[in-house]
Amino acid sequence: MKHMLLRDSLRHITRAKGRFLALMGIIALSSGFFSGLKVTSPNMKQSAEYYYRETNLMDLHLISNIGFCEENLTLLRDLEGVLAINSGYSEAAFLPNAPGGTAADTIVKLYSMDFDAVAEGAAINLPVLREGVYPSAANECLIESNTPAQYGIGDTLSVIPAETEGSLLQNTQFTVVGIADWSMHVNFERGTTTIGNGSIDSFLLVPEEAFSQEVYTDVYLTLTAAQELDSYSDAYLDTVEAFADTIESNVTALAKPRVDQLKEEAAYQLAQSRSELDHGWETLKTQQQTFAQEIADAEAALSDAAQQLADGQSQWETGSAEYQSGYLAYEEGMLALSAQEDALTAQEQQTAQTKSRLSQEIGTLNRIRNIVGGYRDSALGLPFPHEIQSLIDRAAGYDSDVFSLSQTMTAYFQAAAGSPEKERMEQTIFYYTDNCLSPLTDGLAECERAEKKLAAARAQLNEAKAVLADTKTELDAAKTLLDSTKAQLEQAQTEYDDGIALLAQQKTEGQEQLAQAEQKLQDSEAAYAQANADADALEESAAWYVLDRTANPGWSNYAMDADRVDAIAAVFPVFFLLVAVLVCLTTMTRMVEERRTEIGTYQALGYSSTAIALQFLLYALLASVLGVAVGTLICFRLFPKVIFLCYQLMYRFPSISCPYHWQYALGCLAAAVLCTGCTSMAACYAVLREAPSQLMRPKPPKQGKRVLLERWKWLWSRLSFHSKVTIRNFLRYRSRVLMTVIGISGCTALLLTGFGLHYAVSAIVDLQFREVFAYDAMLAFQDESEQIAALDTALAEDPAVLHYQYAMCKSGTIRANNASYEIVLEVPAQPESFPEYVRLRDRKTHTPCPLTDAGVVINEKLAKLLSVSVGDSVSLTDAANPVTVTGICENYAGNYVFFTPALYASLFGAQKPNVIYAVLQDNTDEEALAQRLMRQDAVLSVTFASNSGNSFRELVDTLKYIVVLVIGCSGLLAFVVLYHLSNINITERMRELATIKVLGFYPNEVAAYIYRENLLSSLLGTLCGLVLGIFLCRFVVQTAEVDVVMFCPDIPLHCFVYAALLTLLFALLVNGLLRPKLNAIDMAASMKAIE
Amino acid sequence: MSYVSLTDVCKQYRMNEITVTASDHVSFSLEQGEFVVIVGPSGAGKTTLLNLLGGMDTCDSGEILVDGLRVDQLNSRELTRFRREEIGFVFQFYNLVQNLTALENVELAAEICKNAASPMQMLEKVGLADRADHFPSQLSGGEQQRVSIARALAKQPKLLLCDEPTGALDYHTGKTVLRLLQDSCRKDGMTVIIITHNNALVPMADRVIEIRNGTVSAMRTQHHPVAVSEIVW
Repeated sequence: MKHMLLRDSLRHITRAKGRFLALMGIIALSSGFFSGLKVTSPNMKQSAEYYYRETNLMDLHLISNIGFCEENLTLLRDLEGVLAINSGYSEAAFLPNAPGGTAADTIVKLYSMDFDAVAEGAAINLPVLREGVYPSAANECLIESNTPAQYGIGDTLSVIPAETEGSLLQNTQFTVVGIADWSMHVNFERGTTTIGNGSIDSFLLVPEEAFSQEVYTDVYLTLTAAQELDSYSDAYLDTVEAFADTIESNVTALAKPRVDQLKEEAAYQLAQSRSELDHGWETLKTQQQTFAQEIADAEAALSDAAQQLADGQSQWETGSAEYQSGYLAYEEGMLALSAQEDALTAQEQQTAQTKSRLSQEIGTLNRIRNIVGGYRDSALGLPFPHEIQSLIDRAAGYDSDVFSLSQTMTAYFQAAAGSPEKERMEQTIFYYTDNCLSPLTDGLAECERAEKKLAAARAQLNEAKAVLADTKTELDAAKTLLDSTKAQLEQAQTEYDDGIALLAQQKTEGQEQLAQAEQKLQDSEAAYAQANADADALEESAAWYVLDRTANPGWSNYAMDADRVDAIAAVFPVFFLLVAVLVCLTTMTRMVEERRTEIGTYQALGYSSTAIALQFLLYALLASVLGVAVGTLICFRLFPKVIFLCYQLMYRFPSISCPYHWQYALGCLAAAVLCTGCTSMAACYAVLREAPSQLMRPKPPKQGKRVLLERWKWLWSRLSFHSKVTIRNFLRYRSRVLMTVIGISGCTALLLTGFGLHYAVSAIVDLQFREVFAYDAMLAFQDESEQIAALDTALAEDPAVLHYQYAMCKSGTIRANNASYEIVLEVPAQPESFPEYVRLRDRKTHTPCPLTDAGVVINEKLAKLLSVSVGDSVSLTDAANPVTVTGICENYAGNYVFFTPALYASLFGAQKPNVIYAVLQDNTDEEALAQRLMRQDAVLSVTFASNSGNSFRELVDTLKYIVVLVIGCSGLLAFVVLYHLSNINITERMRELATIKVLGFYPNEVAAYIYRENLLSSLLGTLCGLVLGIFLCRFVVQTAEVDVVMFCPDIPLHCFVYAALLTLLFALLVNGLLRPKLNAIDMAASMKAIE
Repeated sequence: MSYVSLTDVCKQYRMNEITVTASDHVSFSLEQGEFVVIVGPSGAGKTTLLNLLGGMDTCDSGEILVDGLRVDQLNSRELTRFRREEIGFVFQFYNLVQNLTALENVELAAEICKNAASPMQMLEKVGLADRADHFPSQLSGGEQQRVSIARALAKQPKLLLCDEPTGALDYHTGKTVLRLLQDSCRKDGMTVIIITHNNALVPMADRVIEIRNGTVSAMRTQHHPVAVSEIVW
């Protein structure tokens, strides 16, 4: 190029600095945005790579179910391609949340580390000290960022091994001497374990001496071939995989030393248990014999007792019979005696009566005689004295037919004394009475004799009575004896019966015990056989697990996150590139147009077209080179740093390195040069085709045109004058409008994406933990029935717990349409009331998805991943049959398959609940409740929905940096586009503006004249952007999603409003910024000739 | 008192180190209804005078009076108002808004003015009623200038300032335009000031002001100005 031409073109740059800077700026922005985002992923991976290399991260991690012995290590070390090998121990244990605490709610995994080697940098998986020093004694340890915050350097940790017996830990007390990062765990996942809730919270690095074990649990390898390879490259993965295959194919040989060792141990153990078993069998036999003997003895003793009992009984019966007959005889005797006595008594009475009558009569007669005698010498006149009269009356009884005594006597008394008559009468009376007296006296004697006889009989009778009384006494004594014998017999019978029952019981018990002992022995025998078989099968059962870095969740997630940035990086800069191309096009075209007279002049002066074109090319080149340089220099650092800043909240990397990526810079430069160069060449070509003379004349101004709308007279005539002008101008500069629309729509779309993404992620926290998970707390418990009963009581009685339900939670794998995913199987005990704990419902309509025995309910994300819908069938690992999907429910975090107990039982067999969902009173002190519940032995862990939500929320908060970045970038985009276009608009229409100023338009009116068009195109752009943003947001949200999370796919109204308002705010801001430029328009410009 | 008068008006432009004196103690006055021609060679300061008169620029010192209004003392907003209400401009290159039709261009001016004349009547006046719906690019140079005049007159200004109104026109068209300007002066009593380097226009003026090196070198009144048709250049 000619010297002057060069100077001219340089002067063009310096004169119109603004335009050059604007062009350079848009190139810088678009190239920077594109390349900055594009290098973020490689930078992230590379920084990780540096970190891995610096810390000598293992390439392969071996674990085995049988452990590793020194010989295994030697064999591994001798393998071709092994660079270094480290061995160590690891064990999970519980850790109180704070020093001195008792509640072990944190699960830590202790890893052994050879800190001497670490200090020399010679170990694999070097920890990076952030604070403190490396441990030097067996009771010192390093903690990490995830360790509960209450622990600091100098504190003492005391871990609680899961089981005291099997623990490999030599000591459980450690003094914290340092805080370290570890490349084995770059994110916050710490792996899984079999204790507690199964998820490790933190790791501790302790010296090897803290473990006591003869075999190692872990072996780490680094490979020579992998050293120089980028660990996220396919080459690396292939190399490591190939080596892993080598190990896996040689596992038998490699594991042999340890297997042999185990076999020896097993053989010894087996021999020991054999002898124990044999001894056991013998003991059993002896016991059986003893038992039989004892039973026989007892039975014999019992039968003797039975015999004695029978004898006693018969004796008693005889005695009893004798007594009976004796008693009868006695009774008879008694009867006879009493009859005799009665007869005797009657006789005695009769005799006594007779005697007294006789005596009386004798007395009467004697009296008569006495009186009569007395009255021999006297007579008595009538009436006689009473005594004599009564005597006469009585004597009447002795009257007879021949003689009347009474009359005689009467006569006698009356008869005069000494009369013969009287004497004769006296004699007769005496005679008669003598006659009467003699039988009476005889009778009396007779009576006395009878009395004597009767007295003798009475004495005899009394004798007999005494004899009988004696007999009675004897009988009574016999009776008493018999009764006591009877009682004795009965007691003996009872004793005998008891003896029989006891024997039967003892017999059953003994038999049972013996059977149990036998069963035990048989079991032991089976175990022995199993152990024997196991020992024989040791080679087959010995398993080595060869894990490469992909098994490390942090390692692979990081790569996925980096790739995600890359995917987003592919979409975001599109707007910037489009806008950059359009800006270059308009700038270069405009510049060529502006300088057409000059071009004509150069041509007329004889400069070649090439030289003239080169002038523009130089301009374009300079702008491109400078723009790309500035853009890449800034953005190569800015973007990776900002994005990394976000990821640093999830990953523990020391820093990101931001090298200058020449390939991207050159690529951008090529694109920029192509873009600016081609457009300038095209513009030049169009101009250079014209004749110089034509060029030197001013270009006829662009024609005004009618717009289609004018045909619609009715509307057109009703539009204000300014609207008409705006519409005309709007349609006149179509390319400019298009550019504004593209730029602004890009801005709006980016904003909407930013807001939408933020909402999509942040909304799911509340949706998941408030809407879907209606429960407040989840308890994991172990299966110990008595403890569960206690827990159940505790829950039922706890005032904070409103209601609760048992469920089974189990991880598994689901398969459909050739895809398989890890899932959680949920089996609520009462499916009908399960919605009180987990709301199974459709996301959009909120229609409940009921759990039925007909099929399972799966979550939406899972349905999408598996591409299944309601009615399709899915298969589950270990399930008997495929199962139909009957519902798809709303869920955001995790993948779940819900079963009814019956359905689960039909597929897998019995279900055992292992978790409890609980709904709590509002304002429950969760900490206190957790402490109460953890006191229950069955409870393994208590998780509160509020806590899970909070930790998730923190993660989501990191997203706001991305949103700020997006808002910043979109603002910049809007600004660049609007500023550039308005600038061109103003420059190009300088004359028109100057004219209307001369015509007397106020500054506001002049501004409005231009801004109306700007605002109209901005509005149009915003509308387009809102539509475009929906798609962009969906894409970004989907790209950012991981398998276990579903972001909220809806964009709420307020995001649209924010995006639109912010865009318009940017537009207004640019308009404001352009005001000084409008005010500065010199009215004299209206006088100038058209250039 | 004169309708328009300039007294000791000075204006300097500073461009970096160089200071250019565009008006150096310019003083003149003219009466209402006069047809004034300000003539001088290129760079003599004619346009500066026009700018000062039209309220597009302010003077450094001196006094500018238009119909009793001290234009030199107005602030920028008042100047805009002054341009809006009192001044009509006719540009050398017509300065029509390309995207507006002839009628709309006139409306553009009429719209912002309080006592504007009907745009259509103005177009009729300049003889372009039938081309009201045409865009500037569809009109010839002369027609465009006539639209421009119609636009200036629509405001019914106190002063009609014309900057080389025939500069971009051929002879005949130029004459038509001049006749239009002269007619509006004679028939409507409009005060018209034409700035030109073309001495041939001098005879048609009531008053001629000659400018040289930023000062008024001569000023004369002609009692018998000739008609446009008689002018030859």
